[in-house]
Amino acid sequence: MLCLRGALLCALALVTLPVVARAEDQTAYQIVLKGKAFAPEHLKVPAGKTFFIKVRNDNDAPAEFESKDFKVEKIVAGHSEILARVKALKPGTYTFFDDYQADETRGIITAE
Amino acid sequence: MLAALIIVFREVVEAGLVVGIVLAATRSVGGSRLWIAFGIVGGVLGSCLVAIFASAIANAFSGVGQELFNAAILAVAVVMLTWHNVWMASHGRELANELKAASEAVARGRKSLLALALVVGIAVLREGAEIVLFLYGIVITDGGSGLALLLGGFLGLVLGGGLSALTYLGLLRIPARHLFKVTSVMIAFLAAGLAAQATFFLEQAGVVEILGDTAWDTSAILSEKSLLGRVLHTLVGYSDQPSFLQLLVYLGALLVIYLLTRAFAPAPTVEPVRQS
Repeated sequence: MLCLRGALLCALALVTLPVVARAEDQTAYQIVLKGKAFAPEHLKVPAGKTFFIKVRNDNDAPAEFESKDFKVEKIVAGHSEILARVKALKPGTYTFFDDYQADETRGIITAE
Repeated sequence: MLAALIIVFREVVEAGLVVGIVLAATRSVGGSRLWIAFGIVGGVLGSCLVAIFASAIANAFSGVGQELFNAAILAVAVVMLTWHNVWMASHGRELANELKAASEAVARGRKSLLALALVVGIAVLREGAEIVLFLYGIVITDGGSGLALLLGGFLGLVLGGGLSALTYLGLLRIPARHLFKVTSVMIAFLAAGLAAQATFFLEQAGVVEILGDTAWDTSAILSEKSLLGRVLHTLVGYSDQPSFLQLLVYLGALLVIYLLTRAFAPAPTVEPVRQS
């Protein structure tokens, strides 16, 4: 049991090493959530390249930055910031939203 | 209020199904209810902790802490479920015979119960953390009018509990001598689905980048976010846009569980025909 836990931790430590190195050298786009709106609401990214979205939540309430189209689902606590990794996208339009207020708070990414 | 109810219920679906299946799978193991209750309480406490430290977890490991955390606890759940199935395969026959001394069953079942209590705890924790954050958000933004929303959230929880009960009672309709087989198969699929989910989080964290292309896209036919989609997602690991790696891990997990279960099962004996 202990052995297993130790092995898991080691594995976790090992696999995270390359991530630490890689996160820095890819493009990151900033999105700010304030009230019920994302700014910017429309993001243009080059197609075929992995990129990051930095989501900053300026509200008191937590949010969940989510997209079914590009498969991201991340909780953003109030007054904090997360980094979401987006796999290389094919040209097209992709929507994202705050899952806790999904009807009102939405945005679009265009990959071209 | 309805929105809150739906959001909370949606999150509770997975935990509710897991609790129902585990309850049925351990029905004849003495003391199982207590262990499962521990699992639920532990999961609720854990979700509060995760919610409090959400920001710290997210920022760990240069921003992919949330993904790695999810992948890690899912991996633990997969191991525990697999272990339970293997254990059941080697001891299940004794347990199935309810006339056997209950105390013996308890002593033998304890380790397996610990494993399943952990699985229940993890299921509750994963869903619970989001609910805690969501309800917390309602309270601090809406103040007074938040009461109706909280009530909605509470009703959502109750409905989730109802789903647990329904799953449990539904499974109990299966004759006792088949129940082990059915729950074992369900647990195998559950574990494979969780393994595929863990893979998804590792992909999202950028830890694995092979076979990342989408194997199929059925989101237009059955969205993973719809109620039926969520139920199937939990029960058999349905995904509307899985990657090839997820698919591979899913099938691999099923195969490994099957082989392990067979390897540890006692040599088949001719079962006498029993009156039930």
